[in-house]
Amino acid sequence: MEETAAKVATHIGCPICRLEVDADEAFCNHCGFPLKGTEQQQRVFWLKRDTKKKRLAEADKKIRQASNTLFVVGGITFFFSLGIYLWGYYGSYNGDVSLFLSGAILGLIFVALGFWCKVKPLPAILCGLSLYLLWQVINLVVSPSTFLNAYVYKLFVIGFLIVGLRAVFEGEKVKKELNA
Amino acid sequence: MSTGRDDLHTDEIVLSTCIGCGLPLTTGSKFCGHCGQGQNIEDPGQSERKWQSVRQVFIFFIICSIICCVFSFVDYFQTLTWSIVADGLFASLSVTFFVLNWHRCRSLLLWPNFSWKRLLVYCSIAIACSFLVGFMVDWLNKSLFSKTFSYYYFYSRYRYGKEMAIFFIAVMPALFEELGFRGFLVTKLLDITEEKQAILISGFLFAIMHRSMLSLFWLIPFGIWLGYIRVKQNTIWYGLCIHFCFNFTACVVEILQSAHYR
Repeated sequence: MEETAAKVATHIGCPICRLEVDADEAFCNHCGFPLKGTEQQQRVFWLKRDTKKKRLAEADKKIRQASNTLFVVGGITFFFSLGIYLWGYYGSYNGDVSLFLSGAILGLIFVALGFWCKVKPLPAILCGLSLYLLWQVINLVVSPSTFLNAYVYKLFVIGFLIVGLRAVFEGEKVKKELNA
Repeated sequence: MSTGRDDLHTDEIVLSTCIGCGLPLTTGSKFCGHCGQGQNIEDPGQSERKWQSVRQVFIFFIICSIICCVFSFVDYFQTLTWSIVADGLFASLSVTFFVLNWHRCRSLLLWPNFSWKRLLVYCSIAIACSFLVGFMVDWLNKSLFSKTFSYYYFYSRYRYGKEMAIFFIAVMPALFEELGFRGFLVTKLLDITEEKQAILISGFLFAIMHRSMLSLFWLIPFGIWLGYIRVKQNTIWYGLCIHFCFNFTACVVEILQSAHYR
């Protein structure tokens, strides 16, 4: 009982994170809030924390865009290869099963990476970007005349994935700063 | 990566000190109660160093892709001479990147805690997997495409074809893929991310580099296994032996099959 009363006397609740802090401390050791700081110092803390949270939200948004890019690439690749196969199957020439299988597996891998990106963005984006770049290198070597087809789409895909990758590092850095 | 935090050793407990003011911290503190300094902040250059490692990984991967694709898909290069040039270029690429990161990679050339028993177990698993994978791939190729595929066929028309096949299929890839992927690549990925993710990424990149969608079902687990052994044992030698045993078995099976059907 005495021990509890002593604890209440020596501990206060942080107004920001609501966790218990030693009353002697000048700063909260959970969130860094200046408990004994001036109003100006406390306002600066708020502003900095707010800016970091915005940076974190921005990084998360870019990671989501990268994840969506993987879904779009996967979907387009899968349905395009399926369409080409069916067009060949019911059309004038026999559908190439190996081409369809390669396209379908490639599409499904991108979709799987898109889902993985929601849990582990760094490996998923790194793998997705590598696979997409390898695909473009194969395209350049096998069929140089079609390499520049849909170049805006290709540039967007590569761009979104690179931005997503940078955002992962930015997010990690901000999370550490926020001690989230 | 050091956070710059010092520890005060007392007779009974170890107290952490603040990276800003150097005063002792309360146990479990994320911020210093005296100066407000965050204790878990990232080294200012760390993010940039990680990004530099990512760039190096991509440069290695793209050069590797170009070499592999050009010499695999362009008919003009489908000769023995060009095949040797391709293998030479890939070997140079792996050695160059390994040497450029010599200070981080050199310890991988040592063989700490060498164990014959472990080596034997790993190699036996590799040989068994090679038989299994060879059988499954053959069955898939016959079922889906009604044809078989043989790496040895390319070398079989030359004098010393068997010896060349063993050298270029079993020895060269085992040596230089391990040096490049498990040596350089895994080391760089460990600078970027944690062990588990580095192993997964290296396994995936190793698998897609072989440019066969159908073979991914065994290439990804194989790459992950090799990456895991590289990280666990901190050497590339076990991986090199496993890779050699796997490819050597596949090569010998192809040579024997070729002699049988002749």
